[in-house]
Parts: sequence; structure tokens; C-alpha cells
Amino acid sequence: MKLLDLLIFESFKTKYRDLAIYRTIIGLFFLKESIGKGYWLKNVDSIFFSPPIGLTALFTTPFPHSLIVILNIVLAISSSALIIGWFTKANSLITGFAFMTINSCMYSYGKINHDILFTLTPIVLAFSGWGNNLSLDKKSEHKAIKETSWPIALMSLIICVAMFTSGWAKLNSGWLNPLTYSAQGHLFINYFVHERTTLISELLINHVTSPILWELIDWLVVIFELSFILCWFGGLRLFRLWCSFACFFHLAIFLTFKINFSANIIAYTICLRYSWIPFSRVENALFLKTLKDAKPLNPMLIISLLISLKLILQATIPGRLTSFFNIGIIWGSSLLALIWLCKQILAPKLKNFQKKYRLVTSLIRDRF
Amino acid sequence: MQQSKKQRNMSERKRAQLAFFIAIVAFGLQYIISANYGEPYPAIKMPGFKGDGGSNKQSITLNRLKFIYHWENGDLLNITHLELLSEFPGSHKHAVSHFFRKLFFLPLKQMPNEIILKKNKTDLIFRGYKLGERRLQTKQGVSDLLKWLRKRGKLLGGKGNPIRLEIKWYKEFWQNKDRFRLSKSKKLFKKLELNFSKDIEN
Repeated sequence: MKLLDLLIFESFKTKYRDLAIYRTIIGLFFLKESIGKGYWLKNVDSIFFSPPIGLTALFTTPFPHSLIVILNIVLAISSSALIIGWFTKANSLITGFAFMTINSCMYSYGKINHDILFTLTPIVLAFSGWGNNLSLDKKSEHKAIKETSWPIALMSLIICVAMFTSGWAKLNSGWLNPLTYSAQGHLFINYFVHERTTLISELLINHVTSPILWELIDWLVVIFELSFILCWFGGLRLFRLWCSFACFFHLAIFLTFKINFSANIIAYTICLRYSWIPFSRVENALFLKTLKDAKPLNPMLIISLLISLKLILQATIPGRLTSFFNIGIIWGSSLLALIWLCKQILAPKLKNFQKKYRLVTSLIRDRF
Repeated sequence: MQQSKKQRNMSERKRAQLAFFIAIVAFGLQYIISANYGEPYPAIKMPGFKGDGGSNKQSITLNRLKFIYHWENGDLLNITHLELLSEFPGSHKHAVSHFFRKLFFLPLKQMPNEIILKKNKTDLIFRGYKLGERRLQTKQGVSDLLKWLRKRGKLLGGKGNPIRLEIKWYKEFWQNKDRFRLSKSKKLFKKLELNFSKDIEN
């Protein structure tokens, strides 16, 4: 019991300012997703309405388009409020549930996109006190809630379980069977049926046909996904290491299957340290200091500005650029993970080198 | 003062325990639902890429659907499911295309006119559960799907109502014959002919 308490309350402790930056980043992503999400549903015939068990299965007809539009507006407002940290707890919950409801409508036609980690993040972290820094709530004591690390531990557990379920499904469906090459099979399906073609996938199809290699890939994928559940018991540090591996894993999936898991990567950044960002400058840049004595109208003004900016960008930036942005997340996260891993490996050696360098320079100085 | 702090810590602990308890119950519940009714939403799950990706004994089988619309004047329109379902975004197209595959296996003559609801709790609470697929088990559902296919043909062809639709289901086999060379063979697995004027009424 003590071990569990230690895991839940101590092992995932992070700097709350880091969490505040994370809130701002995730808020920006929810704002980016809002207004326009699920609008394609209005063109789709209701004969294909076939929801899985869940909210939409309670109804026999799809949700009206007007409701989707209202939910999008709610999402835009609440995510903007999340960015500036205004009524953070309530807006975190509203953002998560509004996004989830729109997703429920989108996934009621047979296909479920697995962006649940991204969706659950604001709901779980609403209780972490992530609105206590870099926010308008910071100024008013009654809105601030007690900072605690158990929501981070819970979110990490959710991420680990989600990855584990993927590995478990593979384990139970023949991925480890030496007679089948599942990764290769999925590569073929994505390439030829879904027409998700990339340069790498073409190379793999034409040149990498060694059964041993494909079988090895199958095993590595299953082992990596299953091991996620164990890393939770290692606390934030081990979780961070696994998340950095996951960034490479998602990059590999993107390069071969052209499936973009950028939403997952946003969820993984919960474990990131943002101490390299100059906080006071960020705060100044967001005009939050000038809003020290904010009147009730001011937050609404900022929210309107943020939404207007989003609409302008949406109208001016072509769709291709937004997909480039998602691709940027995949590549950027892998690059960050690589830098972090190099730093972890090289840091002790660098320290050693620095010590020796100082010793040598002091010796030289003493001599001359 | 110290006691109130202690009390606050206790309530915090209880809240955390409750949250973890809910999460663990949710994990269990979603496992049961997944096993009996398919993946629910929301569920804490990542894609399993189940099965073996179509590969079996070093061969990979792919399913492809071709839709060939016929008009009275002899015009043809040959399209894939991706073009037919262009109003759906990306990966949704493949999931929806299962509707058309089901058409090949329907016992059209023994079908009821309406959905027969079972008396279990799931059917009563989740009345919309897999509704589209269940509708396909009824004459009305099939007729609606055919009407939609005709409407789509009219829209995509731009030549008025098509009279007939052929759906060809191909199976493609990719084999890893000598470890480093892949060979491909294609076989017509099933063929379905739909006469719009006749089949919609029946």
C-alpha cells in the first residue's frame, strides 16, 4: 500500500510551472481542432449510422449538424480559456467532454480513431492544479486549486494501459507466430488498399522481404507495447524514457504506414520538462502580467481574440499546411527525444570531461 | 490548523483513490464490452492492428471492391470504394466499405421488413448500437442502401440515374516465394449484379 502511495503521490511529481506550459500547449491544440471538427458529418447519409456502444448508441439517428456546430463553438471558447487559465478546472472538463462528444458523433459510422489519450488529458489534469501558474486563476485565490501529482500518475497509467492494450491485441492475434509477418501484412494493406504510399514504404515493399527481419519487427513491436505497463512502476523518469522511444515508434509508423499519431505525442509531452523556456518572458508575451487586475470582460476579450485569430489562420492557411504541422509534431518530437536521450547518455561523460578540463586549466594556471 | 491540513490531505488521498478506482473499473468494463460488443467509444485503447495483417503461411491476402455503374445508353463508370465514399474522410472509407461486402452474403429472400429488437438490456438501452449494420438485415435497409448507391452513381456519373451496378470483389494474393521476391496474383472472389429498378422495389 505504501508503495502504491509512493507511486501515486511522489513518483510523478513535476514542476507545476512545467504543467502550466503543458496546459497552454494542449489548449492551443484543442483550439486548432475546434470549429470545423466533424463538419463532414452533414454530407453523410444516415443509412451508414452504426455507432459502437457509447453515447451515440443511445440514439437511433445521428446528432443534428447544429449540435456539432454548437459543440465546436463551446470547444473553441473552453480551449481558449484553458490557454489563458481562466476557470481552468471547469474549462478543462468542458474542453475534454466537448471534444469527446464530437468524436462520438464522428466515430458512429464504424471507424474509431484512437485519439483518446489527447481527449482524456484535460479531463484528468483538471484536478492537478495546472491552472495555478501562467494563468488568470493565479490572481484569484478562490479559483486556484491545490496542486497535486496524482492526476499525472493517473494520466501516465492511462497512456501505459492504452499502449499495453495494443500490444495485448497483437499478442493474441498471431503477431508472434513465426509463420506470419504481421507488420509486413499491414504495410501491404496500407500501401495497396488504403493507398497510403511513402518513399520508405515503397523501399520496404520492394527491397526488404527477408522473413527473419519482418518477424523480428513483429516481436519488437509487441515487446515494446507490452513493456509500457511496467515502465509506469518506474515513475516519471522511466515513463519519460519510454515516451521518448514511443516518439521514434510513431515516426516509424508514420514513415511506413502514413498513419499520424500526433495526438498521442501531445499526450506524451505531459512528462516533458519545459524549464528551458524563459517563463517570465512567456508570461510577458502573453500579456498576462498586464492583466493582473483583470476585469471580468478582459478574459472574454482575449478568448474572442484567440478564436478570431484561429478563424483567420483557418481561412488563410491551406489544409495542406495543417497536415504539415501534424507531420512537424511527429518529426519534432523524435528530434527532441533524440536530443534528450543523447543528453542523458552524454551528460555524465560531459560532467567528467568538464571536471578534468577545470583541473587541467587550474594546474596550468598554477604553473604559469 | 495542522489537523485541518491533515484532513485536507486525507480527502485528497480519498479523491485520488476514487479516481484510480474509477479508472481500473473502466479498464475492466471496456475489456468486457470489447469482448462482447466490439470496441466501445470512449475506451482507453490503442489500435491493435489485429490479426496478422492478412498474411498467412507467407502469403498476404488483400480484399478490393470495384463498382461498375451502367447507364441505359451503354455508358460505364468504374470506381473503387475510395471514390464511391469520397464524402467520408480518409480511413473512415474503408470501415464503411464493409457495408457493401455484407451485401454479398445477405439472405435476401428470408429477410424481415423491420429490425427485430431482442429483449436484452443492451438492445433496449443502446437502441442505436450498430444500427446501420442491423438495418442491412432487413428488406427496408437493403432497399435504402441500393437507393443510396443509385443516388451516388447519378452524382458521380453526371448522366442521370444508372440502371445497373456490378460490384466485383477481388482478392489479391502476395506471396513471398523465394524470400526476396514478391509475386502478386489477382482473383475475382465474388460478383454481385444489382438492377436498380427491379431490386429496389423487391
